[in-house]
Amino acid sequence: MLDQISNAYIGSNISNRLYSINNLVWPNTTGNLWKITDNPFNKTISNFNVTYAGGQVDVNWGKAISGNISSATNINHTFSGITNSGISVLAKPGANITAINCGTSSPRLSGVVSFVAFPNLQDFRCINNGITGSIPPINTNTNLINFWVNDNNFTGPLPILSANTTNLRGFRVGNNRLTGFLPTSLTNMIDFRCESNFLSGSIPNLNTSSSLQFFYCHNNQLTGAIPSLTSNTSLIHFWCHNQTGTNKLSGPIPNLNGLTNLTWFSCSNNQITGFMPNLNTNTALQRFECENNLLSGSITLTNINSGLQYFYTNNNNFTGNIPVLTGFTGLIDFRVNAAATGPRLSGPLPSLSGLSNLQFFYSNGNSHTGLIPNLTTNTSLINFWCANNGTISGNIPNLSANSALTQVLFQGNQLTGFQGGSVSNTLGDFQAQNNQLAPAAVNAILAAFVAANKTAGTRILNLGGAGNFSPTGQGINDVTTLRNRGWTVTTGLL
Amino acid sequence: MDSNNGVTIMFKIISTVNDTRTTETEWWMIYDANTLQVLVPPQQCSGGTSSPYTMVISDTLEELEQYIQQNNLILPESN
Repeated sequence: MLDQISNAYIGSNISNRLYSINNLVWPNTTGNLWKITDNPFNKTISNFNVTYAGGQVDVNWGKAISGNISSATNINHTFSGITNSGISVLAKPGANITAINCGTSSPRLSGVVSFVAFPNLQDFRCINNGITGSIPPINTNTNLINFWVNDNNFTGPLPILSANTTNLRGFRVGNNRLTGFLPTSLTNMIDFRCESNFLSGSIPNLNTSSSLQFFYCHNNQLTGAIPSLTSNTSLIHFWCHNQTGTNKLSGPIPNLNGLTNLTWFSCSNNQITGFMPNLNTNTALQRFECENNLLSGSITLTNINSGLQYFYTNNNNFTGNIPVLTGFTGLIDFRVNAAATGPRLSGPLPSLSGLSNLQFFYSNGNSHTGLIPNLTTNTSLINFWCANNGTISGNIPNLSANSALTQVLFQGNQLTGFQGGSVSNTLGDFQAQNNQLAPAAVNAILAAFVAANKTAGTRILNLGGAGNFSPTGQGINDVTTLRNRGWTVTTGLL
Repeated sequence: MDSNNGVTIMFKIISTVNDTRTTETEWWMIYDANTLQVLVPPQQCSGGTSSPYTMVISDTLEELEQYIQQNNLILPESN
């Protein structure tokens, strides 16, 4: 039994000064306190009292624990093995504990949590600890600033946020099994995240949330309109995509004018109608997603948005041209596939020259005309889709520079030739069926794939369908060679 | 040929796929009989196909989908 330890240090940070431990029962001990953080307790601890002068305690408490902590300012524990007892036992009434971080080491905190014993709590973070039951009330914790309990197994409604919790700035409850509604007001909130639950009802009015920077409510069952965001001039991320109920979010995308800090916006997989918003003032925009909705009109991007990295508008009713992408040098992923039926984009495919970060370009099922753009500067390209556009003509471009390419979909156009050059041995899905490829083009493509010598992974080469000629001469032998290397090769019959 | 609730479904199952001809109206796919992975998903595409894997040809997409279900074939993830 250790009765008293004074001026002991825990961990490598000398600010973690533990002044005394009383009545610590540590049976069968073979080590000393220095091993607390190096080799987490795997003992039973009981009847202990910690008086802590300040700073941050950073202790892995080990297997089982009961007792009290008093006079601590911050607790940064792995509350291992407190199953069924909850964490309120750790604090004496009136203890000046302002911060608790449960950690995520295994075994983790589970059981009932109460905040009654932590009236001075400002910061509570207990993420991915497998906690069950309802989120306990926090509306008496008037000092609470951050409350993070995401990635647990909480059920029931969100805790009531009232006039007593107006200091709350960060509220993260995502990835639980919560039901019920969102708070009616998020005044003063900076970071609100309730994603991936079973929440229903509508997104609240955010007019009074001028400090709001992060708002995540995706993967719920929300309905109604996206509220006005014109007051949320601090907004950085707004995610409301993928509402999973029968009814989803509807109405238009709100005006995003003046949201100069906005970097991520996603409303995909809803029932959003109207037009794509004007993004002329969203100079920080990096990610814009609105796919699988009912949007119409044109895709509006200008060089103001040249910082875009991810842009998804698949499966809407957009018409008009793909905007000019020259200068969008940060662009990584650009997807504007048409819906199966309905209006579609038209005009030429844009120049992709200089977009060296571009990895994915998808524009299937539209009505583009003209040529496939030169891809020689798109050295990061992985997938390039422009299938079933009907009237894209000319040559399949030279792909020699696209050393990361894995999938190319050119089928369903009016392509006649192949510019030549090599193909990467990463390219295992090449579909150019239903074009008008001449024998020389077919033979040259087959020869390029034989030369690439890809013998593992996906291996599909489709040059069949109506309009393409069959291979001749060496091309016939190349089909056999590819088949013997595990390829499925389809060629035309003309 | 297979039978499902008294309805006879016609498949052509070809294990040696060497310039196997399909018409524009036929549906076909390619799968690996060892791993049950569908390598070329159901599609309509005329031409001559060569492959070291197994080809299934049918008149309708629904029939191929039934074949996939009955034989526990694994479709590739769509993008």
